[in-house]
Order: sequence, then C-alpha cells, then structure tokens
Amino acid sequence: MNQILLNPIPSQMWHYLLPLIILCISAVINLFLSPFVKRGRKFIFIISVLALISSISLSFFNIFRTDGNFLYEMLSYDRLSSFSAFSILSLGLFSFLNTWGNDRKDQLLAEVHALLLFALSGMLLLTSSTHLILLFIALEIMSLSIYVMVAMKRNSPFASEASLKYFIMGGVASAFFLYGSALIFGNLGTLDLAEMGQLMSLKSPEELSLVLLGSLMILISILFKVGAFPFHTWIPDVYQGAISPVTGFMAAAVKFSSFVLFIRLTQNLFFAKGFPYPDLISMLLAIIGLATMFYGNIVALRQTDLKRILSYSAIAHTGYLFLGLMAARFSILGYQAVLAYLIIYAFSTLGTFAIISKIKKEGEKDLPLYRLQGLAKHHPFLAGTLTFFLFSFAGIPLTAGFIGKYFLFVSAMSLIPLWVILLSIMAAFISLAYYMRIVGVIFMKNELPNPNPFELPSLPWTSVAIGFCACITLVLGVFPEKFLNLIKFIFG
Amino acid sequence: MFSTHPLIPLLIIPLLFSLGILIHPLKKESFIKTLLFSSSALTLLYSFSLWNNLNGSIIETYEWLPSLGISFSLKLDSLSLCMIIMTSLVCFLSFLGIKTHQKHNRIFATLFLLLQSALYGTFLAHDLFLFYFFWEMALLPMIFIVGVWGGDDRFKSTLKFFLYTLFGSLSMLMAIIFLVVQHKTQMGTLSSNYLDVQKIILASPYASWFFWGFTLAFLIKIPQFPFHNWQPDLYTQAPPAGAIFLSALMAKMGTYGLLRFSIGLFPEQAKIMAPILIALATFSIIYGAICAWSQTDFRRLIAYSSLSHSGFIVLGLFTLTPLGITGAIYQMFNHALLACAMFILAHALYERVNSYSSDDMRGLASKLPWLALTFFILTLSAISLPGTNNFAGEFVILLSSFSYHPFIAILAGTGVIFSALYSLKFYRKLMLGTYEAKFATTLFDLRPYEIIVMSILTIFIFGIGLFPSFFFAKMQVLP
Repeated sequence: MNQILLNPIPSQMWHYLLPLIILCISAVINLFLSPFVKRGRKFIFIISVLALISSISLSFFNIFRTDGNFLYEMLSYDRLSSFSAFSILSLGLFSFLNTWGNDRKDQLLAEVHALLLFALSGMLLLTSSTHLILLFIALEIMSLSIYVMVAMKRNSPFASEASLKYFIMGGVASAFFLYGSALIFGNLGTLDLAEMGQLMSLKSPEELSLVLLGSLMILISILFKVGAFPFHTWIPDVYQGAISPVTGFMAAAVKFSSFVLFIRLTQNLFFAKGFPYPDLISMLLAIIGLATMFYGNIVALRQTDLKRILSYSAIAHTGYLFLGLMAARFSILGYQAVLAYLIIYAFSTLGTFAIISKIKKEGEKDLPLYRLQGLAKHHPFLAGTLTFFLFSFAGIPLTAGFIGKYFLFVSAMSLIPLWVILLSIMAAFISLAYYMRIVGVIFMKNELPNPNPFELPSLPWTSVAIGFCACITLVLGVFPEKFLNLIKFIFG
Repeated sequence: MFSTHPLIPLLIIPLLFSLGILIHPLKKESFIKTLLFSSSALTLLYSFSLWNNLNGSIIETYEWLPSLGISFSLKLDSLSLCMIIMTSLVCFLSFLGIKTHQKHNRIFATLFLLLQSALYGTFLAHDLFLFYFFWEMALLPMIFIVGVWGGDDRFKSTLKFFLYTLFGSLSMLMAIIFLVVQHKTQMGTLSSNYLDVQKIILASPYASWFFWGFTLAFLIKIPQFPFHNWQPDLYTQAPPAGAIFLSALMAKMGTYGLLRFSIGLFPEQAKIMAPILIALATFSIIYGAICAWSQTDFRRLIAYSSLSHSGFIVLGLFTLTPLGITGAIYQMFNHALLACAMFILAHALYERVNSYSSDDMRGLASKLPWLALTFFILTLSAISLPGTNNFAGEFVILLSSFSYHPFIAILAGTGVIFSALYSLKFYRKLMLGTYEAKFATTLFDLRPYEIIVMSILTIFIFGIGLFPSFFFAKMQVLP
C-alpha cells in the first residue's frame, strides 16, 4: 500500500499518460505564443501539428499494450480508451487543420487553437477514467473549452447567444451528473464504476433505490451531452451559431467522447450484472432513441438552412446509436457496432462541416440551401465530396455510413424488439428525403443569377482535411474488414 | 485471368473504360463516344464468348468481409447469362443508336459505364449483401443521369423515383439482415451467401414478411401497379439513353430479382402469395394498356406500355410452372429489346420533328419511308404478331396462365388486344395521312448508324420470333 501511495504512477505506465502530457504542454505553449499575432502563428501551427501527430501515434501503439490501472485506480487504460484517444486525436488533428485559416476569416483570436487542445485533453481524460468524480472533471474541462470556442466569434451576437444557451444548459446537465454521482456514492460507498456491479449484486433491489435515482440523473446528463430527445434543444442553435470548424469539432469529437462515456456507463452501471432495473433502462433507451430519430428526421425535412438540417440529422443519428446500446445488453456485438458507427459518423460529419466552412462567406449567419445551387458547376470537388458525405449519412452503399448502419442493424436484429428496428428503418427512410433534397439542390437546380457567389477563399489545410475525411469514408465503405477486426479486438 | 476468373472482366471492362474517359487528355467529344462504343462492343463480344463456353454454371468467390459473413461471390448460370447478354446488347445498341448530346460530357459517359458494371454485378451476385450493394450502385448513376441531364421537371421526378426505389430497397435490406441474423441463430455464423441462406428454415409468419420485403423492392423497380407512379414522369424527364437503361435494363433487375430471390428463396410463400401477384400483374396488363391508349406523348406511351408488358412477365413468373417461367424469361429479353428500340425511335423522331407528342405531327410516312417501316416492324412486335419475338414469349405465358386459371388467361388476352389498339392508333396518328408538323423540322431519313441499329433489332425480332429455340437453347432455366 505504501509503495503505491509513494509512487502512484508506475514507470512502465508513463506511455499511457504521454499523449495527455504532450497535449497539455503544447496547449500551454500555444497560449503563450498567441499574443504574437504575426510570428506566433507559424509556431502554433508547427507545435500543434507535431504534438497531435506524436500523440496519435503513441495512442495507436497503446491499443496493443496490456491494460493499466493507476492513480489509485482513478485512471484505467484499456483498449477502448487507447482506441478512443487515437480516434479523438485524429478528429482533433483534422479539426485543427480545418480551423487553420478559418480563424482569420472569422476573426477569431489565436487562443482558439490552445482551447482546441485543452478540449482534446479533456476528452482523453473522459475516455480513460472509470471514476465518477474524475469523469466529472474531464467533462468540465472538455465543456468549458468548448463553450469558449463557440463564443469565440466576438463580433457575432448569434455566437454569444449560442454559447450562453449551451453554457446554461450544459451547467444544468453537469449538476445532474454530480448529483447523480453523489446519490450513488451515498448508496454504494464508492465512486469507481468498475466496482459498482459487484457492490450492487450484494444488495437487494429494495436497498438500491438511490442507485436507481442516481443513475437516472446521470443518464439525463449523458442524454443532454449526446443530444437526445428531449434534451436536444441546444443542438440546432449552437451548431448554427458557432463557426463551422468549431461546429464540426463539436459534432464529431464531443459526440464521440460522450458516447464512449455512455458505453462505459452502460457497461459498468446501467447494464452491469447487479443493476436492479435493466429492463427500465432498455425501455427508456428504446423510447428515447425512437423519439430522437423521428424528431430529428421529421424536423429536418422542413429546414431551409444547411447547418440546421445537419444539426437535426445529428440528433437523428444519436437515435440510431441507441439501438446498438440496447443490443449491447445481450451481446458484445452491440458495443462494436456503436463504436464503428460512431467513428464513421464522426469522420463524415467533420468532412461535411469542413466543406461548409469553405463555402460559407465571411460574416454570413446562415447558409440557406439555395446558396448551393450551381456548386456542382463551379466546384465539382466540393460538390462531389459533400454528396458523398451526405450519402454516407443516408447509409447508401459504397460509403462507410452503409457499413455502419448494416453492422448496427445486424447486431441489433433479434436482440431487441422487432418493432423498434422496423420503426428505426422507417426513420432512416424519412431521412433520405432531405439528404436527397440537398444533393438535388447541388446538382439538379439551375444556378441563381447571383454575382460571384462561389468565389471561395483558398483554405488549403481545410481541403486537406476534407480529402482525408473523404478517403476514410470511402475506404471504410469498400474495404472495412481490417477496421471491423480492430473494433472486434478492442472489445475482445 | 480470363480462364481462371471468367466473370470479373465483365465488371472491370466498363470500369476501366470509364476511368479512361475520365482522365484522357483529349478535348474531343468524338473520342469519348469512341471509348464508350468500344467498351460496349468489347463487353458484348465477351458476353457472347461466355454464351459460347458456358456449360452448367460458373461460381467465382473472393473474400470481402468475412467478419460479417459477406463474400464477393458471383455466379453465372443460364438465367444470369440471359440477363448479361441482354444488358450487353442493349448497352451496345443504345450507345450506338443515341447520338451524344452536346452538353453530355465525360461525366455523363462515365455514369453510364458505372451503371453498366453495376447491372452486371446485380445479375451475377451470388450473395445477398453483394446483390443489395450492386442494386444500389445501379441506382446512383441513374439518379444523376436523370437529375443533371434530364428535362425541366427533373428534380421532382428524380426525387420521387429515389424515394420510391429506396423504400423498396430498405424493405429488402431489412429482409436480408433478418435472414443473415437468422443464419447465425440456426447455423452459428453470419452468412449472406445465397446457398447458405436457402438452407434456413423459416417460421411461418416471418417467412411471408420477408418474402414481401424482397417482392416489394422488385415490384417497385419493375414497376407494377400500384407502385408505378414514378415511371411515366421519370421516363419523360430522362435523357434518351437514360430512358433506355431505365425501361430496358433496370426494370429487368426487378423481374430478375423476383425469379431469383422471391421465388428462389421462398418457394413456399411464392406459392401461397401467387394469387395476389397474379391479380396485380393482370391488373397492370389491362390498366397499363388502357392508360397507354390515351397518351399523346411518345415516352409516356412507352412507359404505360412497359407497365403492361412487364405485367406479362410477372404473370408468367407467378404461374410457377416451368412453361410460364420460361416464357417470362423470353419476355424479359424481348421487352428489353422492344423498349430499347422504341426509345431509340422516339429519339430519332424527336431529332427530326422536335416533339414527342402525337398532336404535333401527321403523315410522316410520306416523308420518312424507312423510318416509318422500322416503326411499323416495332409496332408489329409490340402487338405480338405471330412471327415476332413478343409472340413467342406472350403466347407461352398465356398458355401457362390458362392452365393456372382460364379467366386470368382471358383477361391477359384482352391486354394483348388492347396493345394492338393503342399501338396501331399511335402509328396511324404519326405516320399515316397527309404530312403536317407543328415545329421547325429537318426531315431526313434514317442515318447510317440508325440503319445498323434498326437492322440488328429487326434481325432479333424476327429471329427470335421464328427460331426461339435457337436463341434460348442455353437458357432453359428453372429456379
């Protein structure tokens, strides 16, 4: 015991912490460099990209190492956390490339790059902990950085509005999380998720009423973070108000890490062995999932703004993921499907918002659909990739989105009630209408007589990010075998 | 490669040529046309060589996605062969017979080649997932062909088509996923291979649901009443070559699917559900013919007559007798030729008189005798006169439906009479009488390439009509 107290981090475990440390140090250096408007920029770029690439490669090799628990078991590194770190950092790298250049267009301060790295470190912590208090801290590190990133466009009242909305609602959700953790601690005497299943199975269901209340509160805060109905209301406004690269980062990385947290909670709490009411949670997930799908898809049908359509589609995609979580109660295949779908979805989303940030003009609040008319003629590359990403969302073959949906439905079929699956297929069908509408506007409508709507700023790094995301979406759509095996290995 | 992997070249040749079209540096449009034509000629030759060498069936399997039980498995049997030759022939004729439009650029040509490759894939796929994959792959190029290069109302009709077919596709996908998972619960592994799936024992309510899951997708694609609503609009809006692909080839994806999957995978359910489908088919025959009677637009006429003709195919399939199914396969081939020929002719007329409407022209026969002659031959084939190809097919189908129930045969027989009525009426309005045309016209008779296309078609029409056994000797297939 003394040995552990003196040396909480065994020397052979440092490689797990290295990505986090590298990120934090480079974020701090970025903060110091950001006042030097002209010369600092170059250094910020080099340092951030180097830090991200080195930590991406480190976390990739961490996937294949043995599990590690340290810091009094508050941090636990397993394959899932290393893999999530790998994916989150990759998403972070592309988001960084995407923000680069756009920050000048939208007149952001250079601190946005430091904040992005801070948010990433919060996400890394979030995916590698099983301790409720540490989870809360990680959640706050992530959220606070993002609140500021949303508000970063200082001359726009919409950004401030979005940020304030997000901040207040996020604060309430965090309070729910904390209160729920306190209730669980009061009942079980532990905050460590890994021990909960065992402790719960020692008690009878009547003694666990506080645990039920606490876990419902935690569920609410998670539903808020992933944007599920009826806690979705912040999503459209925040997605629209924030500048597009930040929206892309939120829609991809925040959703990814929140869902990894959700996976951990379902594994260790909601569907853990001793949890007394798994049927209730299943029922809730089914109802909320279906409501989320239908709400997102039906409301998206009537939108005329591209960013709003995509934000409602983001809500709907949260709903599909619940199918996998429900199936995960009975089979590990469910978690695999959720993780695969998440990654595929995250990269498509990032690519889509990168394209939007390229199309959107300086100082423009909305991106109405008719602005896209004639895009195919003037920018066939952008039009083609945007269509490809939209088809990926819609789940049409050749894109990764199809593999994701197929895997999700295969894993859910025969484990969860058939009516849930049939209804979610119906919801997916509804979504086709608005995706096809966007594609139709891009390709099939005549150009508007508008002087130079397509003189786009050249943002080379944004194009790189778009290209990478498109490649990933294509490769995972055609040759997904290696990727699926990796996912299997993670939950193996 | 050709001896060890005989089927892959069919998929790859169009893809290679499409790559060539995309990246070649020449600015000339005629070069695109040449590449397109040589690709279709090469695939046609290749399919004939397959026809020559086929004994029994060929299966080719490659690993693709073993963790989900999916393999890249292709199978060529006589039914697939019939479809392959049909596809190659129609592609060849339509690329030859439709002069490329000025605004049709390399993307347009590439989409057609992608579509051709996907069609081969659909007809060859021996794995349910792979079939679905190619099925959707065939849809996407068509969406863009119609949506980008179509008529003025293209957006609406494309959206309608997309939503209709995707609704069917999703119901089929549900059925496929269910079967794959069912294979896991019964045999222990995920598998979507056709042969594996055939072995699954299905409980009674599920089996009929999933029969309908597949059948719905196919009925929408053919289309049959009551899912035909997208068809006339789309045929009218599509560019000519797109319309040929839609009516001649993509409709056959549906009928092929009915035979291969609905009947092949669920023979019991097919037997139970046959009356419903036969009723739908018979209704489609008569309804399509009646609607065709009142059309003035040539393309809408073809759309409704297609509805009527494909009713015969479905009718033949669901008599579930060897005779009826053989007749249906004949008819798939024949109708593909007929639709292809009709659209080429409609486009040829349009080039001369700038209209598709029968109200805008009269008495063209006096000015365009050769065109009138080919139109007459096609009309004879459309009304299934003895000696033409359609007679061979429709007679067999009527015969087998008579053995199913005489009343059905009588109803379907009236469909044949109706088809004679509307076809001859249309022919009379366009060709006979004194010459008169509303729009500016540049009258010239058949051009050399049109003569070639039409004579090939005429050879097939009378060849199949007089010697059906020669053409279909290798295609005596039953599921």
